[in-house]
Amino acid sequence: METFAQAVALVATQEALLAIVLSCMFGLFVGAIPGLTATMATAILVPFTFYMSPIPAIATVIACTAMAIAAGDIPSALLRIPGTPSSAAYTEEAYAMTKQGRGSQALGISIVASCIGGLFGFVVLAITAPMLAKAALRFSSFEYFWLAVLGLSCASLISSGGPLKGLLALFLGLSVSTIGMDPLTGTPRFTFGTVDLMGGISFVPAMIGLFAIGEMLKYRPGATALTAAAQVKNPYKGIGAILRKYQVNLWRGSAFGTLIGALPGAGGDLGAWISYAMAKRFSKTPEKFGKGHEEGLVEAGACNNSALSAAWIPAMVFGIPGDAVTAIAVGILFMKGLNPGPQLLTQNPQNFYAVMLIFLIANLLLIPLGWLAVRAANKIFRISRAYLNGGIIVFSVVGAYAAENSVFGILVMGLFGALAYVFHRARFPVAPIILGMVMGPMLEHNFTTSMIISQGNPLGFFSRPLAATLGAIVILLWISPLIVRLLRRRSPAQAAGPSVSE
Amino acid sequence: MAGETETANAVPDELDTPPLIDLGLGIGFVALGAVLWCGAQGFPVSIPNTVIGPGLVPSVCGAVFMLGGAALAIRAFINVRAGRKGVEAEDEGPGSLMFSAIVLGGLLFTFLVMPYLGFTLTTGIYAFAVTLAGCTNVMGAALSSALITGATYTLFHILMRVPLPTAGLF
Repeated sequence: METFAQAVALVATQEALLAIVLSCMFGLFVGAIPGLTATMATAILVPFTFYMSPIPAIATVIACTAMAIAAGDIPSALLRIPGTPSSAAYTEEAYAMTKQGRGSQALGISIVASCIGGLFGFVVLAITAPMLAKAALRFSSFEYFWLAVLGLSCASLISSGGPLKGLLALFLGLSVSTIGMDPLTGTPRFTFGTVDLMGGISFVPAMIGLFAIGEMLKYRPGATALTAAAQVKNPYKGIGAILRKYQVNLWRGSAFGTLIGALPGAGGDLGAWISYAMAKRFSKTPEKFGKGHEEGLVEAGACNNSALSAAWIPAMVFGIPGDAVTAIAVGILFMKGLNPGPQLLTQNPQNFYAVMLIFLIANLLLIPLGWLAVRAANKIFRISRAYLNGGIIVFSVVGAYAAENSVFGILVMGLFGALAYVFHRARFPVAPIILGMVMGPMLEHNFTTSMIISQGNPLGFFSRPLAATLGAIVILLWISPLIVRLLRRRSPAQAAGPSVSE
Repeated sequence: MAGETETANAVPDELDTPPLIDLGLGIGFVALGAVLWCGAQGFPVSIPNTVIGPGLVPSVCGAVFMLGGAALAIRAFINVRAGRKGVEAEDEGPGSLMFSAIVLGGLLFTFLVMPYLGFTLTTGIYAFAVTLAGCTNVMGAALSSALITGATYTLFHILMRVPLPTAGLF
């Protein structure tokens, strides 16, 4: 109880509450603009977190992302353009509802389902994280190594460009993380005698380059002004009845989102697609899907935000981020001295519960602020993207510079922006790069420590039962595509065999 | 043989990525891997007669780049030989290429010039160029970039005391 009171005191400060409200509004604004993603919103906000206390800093990220993901549904429903990748799964459905004059309903479902999904994820996180943390205290470097490899493997295997491109992107991040002084021996690596590289490449300019500059480079000048297909008034009218009718979808979406969000690397984007498909698969009226039916919207909308909350389970308990946003958040936690891991929950539980409270507040704020965003949607759409680009550039330059108080950060941001541009053209995923950069030092530390303990014997990584289990899961994960391919090759042959003989 | 032909025919003629880009990137990764691998060999080992030391992780990264890059390049080369083409990205085109060049060129300009012209002037010029690249209203672009640069300077430098660079020339 005392811990909880301490957590309340940490959150109930002017700085923290102001950070939450302002980031919520910023997240809603960015999420509602097509082409600007939740990750980009977070990347732009990072410079502000440098000068905040730890709890308000992390509140900024949590509140901004929760709002941006939910607000991404606004242009989906009104413009048929997904505001964030997570909304893409049900854009057609929401827009079809708008065309039928039910745009308010579509947005109401999205916002309320997102709120409930987010709260569901929050409850699961609050219950499971302390239990997992107690178990994690018994982990050695072997288990941590395999956990990190498992997270990174999921991230690269599930990534959009396929396993090979995901793997290369991930190792690019890992190799960038080796630049600078070796943490164990102090040997300078790939520094080329440059003082700027001695401390390594800061993840902040790299992340701004990948997600803010990289996203901006996808912009097409001369795009026509956006006009909403309908004017929305009260999005919450009659939503209670719809959610009661589809409560199975609501809870299934929330539960599935939590499950997939907790898997490192999966995230809400993938969750929303699977959840929407699942809603259609189990629906009594699948023929209505795609024509303005509420069922899929309820399930996938709930899935989005519950995945967002659950992605914090591996991030908080093991320090292993589940997606790009939590990778940024883990970086901020390290920067602020709130090193994520079981110690955060056992030694400083007030910080963990403060983060939990922020989740609760951000998700509850979705309802009133979502209402405001929906009402202001037409005005937000009318803001010229060209003017926003100028703002993004100025914030990006400040962020990259302020990370190290050096113009070298701007060069790093430019290089990573160019890399994001090339990777976008080649359909390489960029999120594994930042995951690799953030997790590189932890992975290397645990790898080298384990190698020293096992005196260079790789079999030492399988010497402890839990480490061996995790190792086996990783190996299975990597060979599973090969097994699936072999099975697919065999099954048509078996199917063709009898028919030929017949 | 028939099976092979069927398998070859099953591969779509349009790929996700233009194969030449994949080929170039594959070769690039092999080269990067070789550089990493060679560089890592020069690092000392922490425990004699083992590979444990600062060069271990870079060596692993180098090996993965060489193998993965080679696999990507070979796959792309086969696709180039087969005459398969990649689907163009929606945002591809001369307009977006020019915009990208302005954004990336502007960053290089900022890196080189900011120590001499300071934050306000350099970033103001950069923001103006980027805004103008997306619209035709010169006055609007000038006003908005001046406003956003001024507001950012006030917020970060004056209120939050971030030591943004000031002009070295004047």
